[in-house]
Amino acid sequence: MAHAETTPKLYGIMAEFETPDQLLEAARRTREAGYRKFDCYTPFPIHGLTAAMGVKEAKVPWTVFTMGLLGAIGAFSLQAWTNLVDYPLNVAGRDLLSWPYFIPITFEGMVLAAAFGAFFGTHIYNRMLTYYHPVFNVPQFARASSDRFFVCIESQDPNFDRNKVYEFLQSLNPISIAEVPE
Amino acid sequence: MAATTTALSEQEVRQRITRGRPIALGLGILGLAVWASGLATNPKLALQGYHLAFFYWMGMTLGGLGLSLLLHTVRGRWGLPLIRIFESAAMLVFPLMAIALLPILYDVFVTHGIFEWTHKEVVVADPVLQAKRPWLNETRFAIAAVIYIAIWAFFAKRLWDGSKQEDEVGNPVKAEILSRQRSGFAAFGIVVFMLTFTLAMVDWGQSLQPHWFSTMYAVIMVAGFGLNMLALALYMVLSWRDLPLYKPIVYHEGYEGYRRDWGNFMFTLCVFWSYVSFSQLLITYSGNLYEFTQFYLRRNLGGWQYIAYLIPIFQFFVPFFWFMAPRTKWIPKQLLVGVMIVLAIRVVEIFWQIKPMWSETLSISLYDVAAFVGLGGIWFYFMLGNLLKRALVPKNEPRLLEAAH
Repeated sequence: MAHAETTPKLYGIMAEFETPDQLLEAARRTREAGYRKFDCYTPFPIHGLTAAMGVKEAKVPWTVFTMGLLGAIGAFSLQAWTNLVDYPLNVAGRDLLSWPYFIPITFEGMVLAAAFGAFFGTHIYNRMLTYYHPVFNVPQFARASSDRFFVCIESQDPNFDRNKVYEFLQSLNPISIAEVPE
Repeated sequence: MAATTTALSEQEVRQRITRGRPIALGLGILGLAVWASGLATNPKLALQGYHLAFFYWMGMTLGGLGLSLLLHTVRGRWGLPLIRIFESAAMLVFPLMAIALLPILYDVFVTHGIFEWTHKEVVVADPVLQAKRPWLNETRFAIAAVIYIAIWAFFAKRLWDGSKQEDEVGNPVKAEILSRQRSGFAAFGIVVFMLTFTLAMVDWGQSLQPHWFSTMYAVIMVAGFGLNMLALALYMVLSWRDLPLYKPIVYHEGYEGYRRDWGNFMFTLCVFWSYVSFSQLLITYSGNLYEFTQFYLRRNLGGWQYIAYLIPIFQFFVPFFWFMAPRTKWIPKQLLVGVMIVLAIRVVEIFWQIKPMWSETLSISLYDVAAFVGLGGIWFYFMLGNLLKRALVPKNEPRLLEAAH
């Protein structure tokens, strides 16, 4: 890419592959080569890719769990506080803390908070609402949403060295290699 | 293709089962002997203990039948390693559980120790029980029990024969055609099973407290016993996880394989059981009518409340978090521990459901334990015997170890 050399800033170097198996192999070898800041781009979810990339346990489940727990505790506490402290009301002689009545709302509170956790958690951790991403500067990348598979080693990686990364990616036998300008 | 499953060596598992059967039989005979001694000294207490045992082991048998019907209908891959265990349990409906019913019928007609509505003088003094007489009478009870068992035995036998035929055709394509043909029959069976199961639970469980009734009762029981039977089958398979037959099954495809489905199904059934159990409590609590609240009153006083606290903890909260964690479904041993927790609390729950019908304070008699162990030992002896009669996992079933992706 002629213009990439004139651009001072480099986002990363990207290799293109034809099959998911090649990508899995490439992801595994990239991780083994010591690169940590890299990403894979595929048209569909590939079984085992996160494991090959060495991605740690996902954060969304824990966010959903924490939010659900907080929602349940919050909803129960709100009802307990209104019935015991704020506005005690004798309903047919039942206990003020009639917990069976609180359970449906506690459940709803948990579901609502957990759903917020899932919705916003997914957006935040996946960096959604990103309007510009450098990988789209590479023309071949248009096929990432139909039939091609990409690995991009980013310049932010501490081991990043333009020539070495080039050599390394070449050793993976990709169809093409491209520099990704920022 | 058939080689995929027949190549698995069953020898080690069969040896384990063959070694286990005499132990089960010994425990069974010992338990029943102790129980029979109680029959002479305190027949009422002994028969009550027997009813408790009958209710639990009949429930397990029906859990096996229900899960067999479900699996024959939906043909789920998750159940392939378990289905022969369910069918073996379901086949106990006749003759074992039919014979086990005889002491109960004896009590209904002769000793009147189990059911309050069999006491003539109580019924005469009670207009409500008199009005319920068309359903709650001895003859109808006995005839209905025979009909339920005949219907269940018919379905259990048909499913057993179908599986046997499938194992024998020697060709996965023919086996699949047979299996698909049977799914409609099994679906019809689910409907019949749920109707008869509901009536049977009314007869054997709910009518112990004849003034009380709940439309949720049979649902709580079917969820609970389905969970119970699934837990038992998983306990067996996971305990044998290092033997050549089950090793490739249990570890198949790692987390994406059977273990995740099994853990999720345990989770689902625990949650479903909790949902219906809690619904019954909430409706009763809101309605606050004497006929309904007496069920919980009895179970919340006199020491029973301590058991009442244990049940939601160990049949809801602990399994909820335990089976939700992906780690549980990843590590077979951890899955096994969860299954054992459920098995233990199920016994406690059935005790809490049935025993307070006769006892206002928390109490357990030797005969409760003896009858439970006795009938349970015999139950296991015949269930394991049924299991040995055929291949332990379906033959001609290429899906068993096929990759899901």
